[in-house]
Amino acid sequence: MSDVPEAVPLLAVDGLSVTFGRAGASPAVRDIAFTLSSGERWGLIGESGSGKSATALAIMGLLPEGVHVHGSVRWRGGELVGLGDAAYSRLRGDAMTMVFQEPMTALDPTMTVGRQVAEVLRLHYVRRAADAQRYGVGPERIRGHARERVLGVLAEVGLPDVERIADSFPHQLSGGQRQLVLIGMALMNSPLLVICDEPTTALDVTVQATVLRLLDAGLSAVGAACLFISHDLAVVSQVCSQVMVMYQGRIVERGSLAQVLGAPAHPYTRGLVATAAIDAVPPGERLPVIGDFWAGEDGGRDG
Amino acid sequence: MAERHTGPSDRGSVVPEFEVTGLSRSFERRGGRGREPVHAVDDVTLTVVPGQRLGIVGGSGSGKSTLVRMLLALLPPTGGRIVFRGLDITGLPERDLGTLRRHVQMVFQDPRSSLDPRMRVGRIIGEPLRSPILKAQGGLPPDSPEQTAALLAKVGLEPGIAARYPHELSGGQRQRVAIARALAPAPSVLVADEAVSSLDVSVRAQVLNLLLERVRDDGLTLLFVSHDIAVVRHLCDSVLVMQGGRAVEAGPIDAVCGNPQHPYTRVLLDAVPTIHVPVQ
Amino acid sequence: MKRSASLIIGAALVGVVVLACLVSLVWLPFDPNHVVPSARLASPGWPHLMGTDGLGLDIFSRVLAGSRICLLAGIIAVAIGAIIGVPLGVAGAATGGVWGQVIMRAADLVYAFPALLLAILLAAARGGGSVATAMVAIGIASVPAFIRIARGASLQVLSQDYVLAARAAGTTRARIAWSHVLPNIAPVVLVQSSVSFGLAILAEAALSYLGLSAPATTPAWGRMLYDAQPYLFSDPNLATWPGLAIAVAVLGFNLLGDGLRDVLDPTLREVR
Repeated sequence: MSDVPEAVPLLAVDGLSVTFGRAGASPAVRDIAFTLSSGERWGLIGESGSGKSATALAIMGLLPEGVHVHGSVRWRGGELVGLGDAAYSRLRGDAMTMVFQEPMTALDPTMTVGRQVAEVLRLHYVRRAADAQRYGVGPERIRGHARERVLGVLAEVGLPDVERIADSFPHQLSGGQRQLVLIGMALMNSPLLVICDEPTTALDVTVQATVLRLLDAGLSAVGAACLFISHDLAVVSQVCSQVMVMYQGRIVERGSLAQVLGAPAHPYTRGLVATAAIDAVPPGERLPVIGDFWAGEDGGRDG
Repeated sequence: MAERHTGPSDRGSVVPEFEVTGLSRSFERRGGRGREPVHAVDDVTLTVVPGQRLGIVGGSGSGKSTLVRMLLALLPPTGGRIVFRGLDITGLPERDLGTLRRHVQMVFQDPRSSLDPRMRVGRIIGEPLRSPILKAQGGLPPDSPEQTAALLAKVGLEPGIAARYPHELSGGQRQRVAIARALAPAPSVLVADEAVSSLDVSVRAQVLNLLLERVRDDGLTLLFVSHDIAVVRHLCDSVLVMQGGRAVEAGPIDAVCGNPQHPYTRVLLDAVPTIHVPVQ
Repeated sequence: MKRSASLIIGAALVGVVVLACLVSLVWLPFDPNHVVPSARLASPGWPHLMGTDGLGLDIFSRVLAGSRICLLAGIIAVAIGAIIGVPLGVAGAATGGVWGQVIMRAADLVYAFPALLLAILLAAARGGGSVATAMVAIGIASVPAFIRIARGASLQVLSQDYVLAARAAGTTRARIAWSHVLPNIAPVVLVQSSVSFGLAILAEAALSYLGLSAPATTPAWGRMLYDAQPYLFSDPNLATWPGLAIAVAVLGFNLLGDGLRDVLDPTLREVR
C-alpha cells in the first residue's frame, strides 16, 4: 500500500512469548521476532505443538482470556499487544484476515453461505462508511448490491455454479468448497495480510492442490502479504517464497525457500526437508526421520 | 521382492484372504428434492492374496473407507459378496465372525477418536485379547502386562506408556498405540484407513517406517487406504483407484503409477505435493 | 481443572443442606414434634432461633429435620431415575431399530405424566399417600429425562471410532456398552443427576404441601408451608424459613449441575 512508508514493515513481531495456563508454565512461544513487509509471503513451518498456531492467534488477538502474551506485535507501526477487542475487530476481517484449518467449524451451520459472505461484506462496508465518511452510499445501497458482490467473491476463488453455492448451507458443500468460500471471505475486503493456519490439512491431496493454486492466485490478485502456517514443507513451498522454521516455541531458521531447502543450516530443518521428500526414497525403504538429523533438546523423539 | 497382485495365476495356488465380488453399498440421502439413492460403493470386485500390500486410493467420497468397513463387517453391504479365506461372511451375525475378527485388524485415521479417552493405554491395547469371540478362536496371547510391554516395544514405545491416558500422548504416539492394539491378537491382515493422514509430515515418516517394518517382519497382508498416492506408492505393491464408489483402475503399483490408464489416476498423481523451489 | 463459580456456590449450598441433615441426626435444639401451646407463634429470638409455629413447634428444629426428607427424596428419585433410565437409554442407543423406538415412545408416555399426577395415582392405588409413594412417583417421573440424556450421549459415543475399533477387535455389544459407553457418558449422567435432584426436592415439597407425602408428624419443608398457610399474613415468619430452605436446596443442586457441566464437558472434548 502506497500510504505506508517503506521503513515501517506491515507486521513487526518482537520478543513475543505466549504462555498458556498459569504464569511460570512452559511457554508455547518463546521470545520470537520477525518482520513481514507488504506483499511478502512467509511460510511458518513446524510440528504440532511447536507454537506456530499460538503465534498466529497472538497476532490476530484471538487467544482466549487467561493466556499470557508478552512482547510486541506492531501493525504498520502500531502496537497490537494489549489492544482492546473493539479496536482489534476493526482490523480483523478487514486489513488482516485469517483462514482456519477446519472450514466446517468456521462457518455458521444455520446460515446459507451467501448470507454469511454478505454479512461480512456489509459489516465492514457499513463500518468503513461510518468511519471514514467517504463512501457516498448508505447501508441500503450496499445491501442491494450485496448479491452481486457475493457471487463475485465466490467466482473469484474459482468456485463453480456460484448461484447454487451461495444458496447452500455449509454442510451441503464439500470440504474443499467450504475452504474456498472462507478464502474468498478472507480476500474480499482486499486485506493487507492473510494468515493461513493449516488451511489444507483437512483436505484430500487433489483438493489441496486446487485450493493452494486458487489461494496463490487470489493472494496475487489482491497483492496481500501472507503468513502461511503448515507442518508440510511441500505445501508451504507452493505458496510462499520465504520460510521460517519453528521448533519448541522458537524460530530456529529463516530465509528464502531456496536457501532453507537447498542448504538448511539447522539440523532440525535438515530433518524436516528430508521427511518431506517421500518420493526421493525408493518404495519400501526406510524413510528418513527427524531423529536421524537432530536428537532434539529433550531427546527429540515424538514417538 | 516378488510382485504380487490380483492376477488369476495366484488364485489357484493359494487361498485368498479376501475375495470380493460386485460389492455395493447405497443409502438414501434425504435432500431438498426428496430421496435420492447414493452409491457409496458401486460394484467393486477385488481379490487380496496373503502377503499382498494393496493400496486403496481415492478422494473423499470415493467410497474407499466404506469399502474397507464392509470388508471388516462393520457395515453391511447392500449388494455383492465378501468371502474371507473361503468363508462367505456377507451378512453373517457378529457371533459367526470369529475367524474374520481374529485375523483381520484395523487402524483408523484419527487416533484422537479411535482411542477411548477414558481408558489407559494398557487396557486399550489389551482390548482384542479380552474379546470372547477372539478367545474362542484359540491361539490368542494372554492379556498380561508382559504382553502389553511387548506390544508397546513392537511399536517403539516405552512400557511406561501403558499407564497413561491417550490425551497425554502426542499424535504419533497415539497412532502407535492404535497400531499396537491392532497387532495384539497377531492378525494376518492389517487394514489401515488413512492411518497417517492426520499426522504431521515428520511424524508420518516414523509411522510409515513402523508399518513397513511390522508388515515385513510379521509377514502381514496390508490393506492401506489413503487419499495420497505417494504414500501408497511407498508402502504398497498393488493399488486400487476408486472414484465415486467405483474401482476405476487396479494393478501393480509400478504399472499404475508409471502408466496410468484412467484420467483420475493421473489427477491423483499430479496432486501429490512436491517441494517446489521458486526460480529466483 | 477449570474453576467455576456455579460449581463453588452450588457445592456450598448443597453442603449447607447436607450439613443440616447430618446435624439433625445427632442433635436438635428442640423435639420437632413437641407441642408447646404456651410458646405459640413466638418471634425469632432465643431460645427459638426462627420462632415457633401455630402449635408452638420450634421452626429451626423442624427446618433442620426437614432436610432429611428433602435429601431422601432426592436420593431415591435420582437412584430410581438413573438405575432405570441410564440402562434403557444406553440400550435404546445401542440397539436402535424397533426396540430403540419402543423405549423412546415409552419414555415420552411417562414424560407426559407429571410427578404430581403419578403420585396421586399411586396414592390412590395404595389407599393413601406416604413418603414412599411420593418418592417412587418422583423417581418414575424422572426416568424419561435420564433415558433421553443417556441415549443422546450414548449415540455420540457410539459414533466414535473407538467403538468401531472395539467391534473390529471382536468386542461384544454388551461389553462395549459397559467399558466404553458408560464411562464416557458418566459425566453427563452426573450433571443430570444433580439437576434431577433439585427437581425432586421441589416435587417432594409440592407433594407434602398437598398432603400426599410426609404425614404431619414428619418434619418436611413442603408440609411446613402448608401448616403456615393460615398465618401467611399475620406471621409470614412461618412460611419464610421452610421456603428459604427449599430455595437454597433447589438452587444449590441446579448450580452444582451447571458447574459440573462447565467443568466436566471440556474433558469430554479433547484435552490438548
